[in-house]
Amino acid sequence: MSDRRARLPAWVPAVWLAVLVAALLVPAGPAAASHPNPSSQRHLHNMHFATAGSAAGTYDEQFCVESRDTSKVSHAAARSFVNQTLTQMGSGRVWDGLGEWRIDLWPTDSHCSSYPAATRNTIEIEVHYAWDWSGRCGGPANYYNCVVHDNPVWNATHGHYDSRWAYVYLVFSSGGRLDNTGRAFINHEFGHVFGLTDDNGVCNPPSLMHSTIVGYGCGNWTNWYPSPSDFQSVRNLMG
Amino acid sequence: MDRRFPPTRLLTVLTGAVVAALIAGGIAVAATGRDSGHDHADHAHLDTASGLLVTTRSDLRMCVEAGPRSDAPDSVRTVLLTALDRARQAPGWSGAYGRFGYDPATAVHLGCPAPALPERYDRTVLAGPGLTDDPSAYRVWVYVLDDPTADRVLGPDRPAGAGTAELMREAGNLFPVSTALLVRQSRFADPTALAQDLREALGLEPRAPDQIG
Repeated sequence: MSDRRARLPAWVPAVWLAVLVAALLVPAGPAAASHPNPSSQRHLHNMHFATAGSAAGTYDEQFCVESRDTSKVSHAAARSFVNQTLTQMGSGRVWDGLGEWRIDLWPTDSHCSSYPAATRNTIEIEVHYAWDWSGRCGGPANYYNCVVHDNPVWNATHGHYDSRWAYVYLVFSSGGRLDNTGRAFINHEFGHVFGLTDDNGVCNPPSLMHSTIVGYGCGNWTNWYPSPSDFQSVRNLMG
Repeated sequence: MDRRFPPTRLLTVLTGAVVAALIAGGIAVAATGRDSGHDHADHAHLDTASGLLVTTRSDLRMCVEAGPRSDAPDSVRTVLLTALDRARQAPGWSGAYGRFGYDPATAVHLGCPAPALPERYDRTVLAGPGLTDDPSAYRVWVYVLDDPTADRVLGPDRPAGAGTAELMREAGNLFPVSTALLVRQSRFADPTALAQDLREALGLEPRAPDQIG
């Protein structure tokens, strides 16, 4: 007759005890603590600094706007729309003025290629409209908008390289639209100019950088303007 | 006949299954971990805390498309090393490159891996492969241009110009990791001017004045 009340082997409770201890000691993953791009140094140099005054100064951010198809969108219309989006839509909705005016955006009077090289080299940001930027941004034709940083220079004050120039490439099918979708993409791409990353898949805190309005997966921020945490993340990067 | 599985035996079998799963998982993680570790060690990432700009570079190297100077490789190497020696007098050198330095024997490589000269120069030009996830060992790509080519690409009055040779994308940002330096042949013969060009190409000085016009 077999013993149906056999004693439990000693290793069995030991295993479960080890599992319990491991569960208590292994730290949680970093997702819960995620914040849009808290450590990126891929940003425009001048956002660390400010120049006081009523005109574009040494450490302000001047931008020019250019259209590759002026029958679709003229240089002037594109410039007006970008300027409106970045500087005129009201407090809490624009990048302009952030961080005690360390971000201080100024449009140029004309389109980028109208300036001689020496003058153009003094403009920190170029915004380009076209049907297709796959040669710059990668991916399929007519699809991606992107930001390309340029002229990386050692920032001795903060101990990193950052960029003196940035180019924003917008496609007419999304970022180049002159509506709230276009505004969302402009603000998203300028988030990249100021160091934010996409962080797709991490939805908290709410951010325009991973919003459904710009084609990402998070529906908890569907406005065309940056979220409060986006503004705070850029402030954090300013140092 | 009692077909019930004794609870003690059931618990023992279940625990045995858990142990087996943990062992299998451990083996899998260990195997994957080696893979990841290998990948992380070899796969380039942006590193803006260093002048080399990517994690796969361990010392400063340049490649050069010598063009009209191709028949004098030793001279090309000497000129560039002299200019580099002057360029490192820049104040930012120690912070950006000091912990890496360079080996004169390997700092200048004749020939770049995928040279690509633009039709016309402006500040947005790409002079190299452009977007890549496997950047070269070369932080600076030097193109020496004969006068007709320099006149066509740079324009008749410009002695040199810098652009991007390679850039990487991370999380929606594209950032340069190699600088292209397009130099007119006559400029290449002037070590002081070339050192200034190199300082700008290495990101030790901005390529343009800070002051807005």
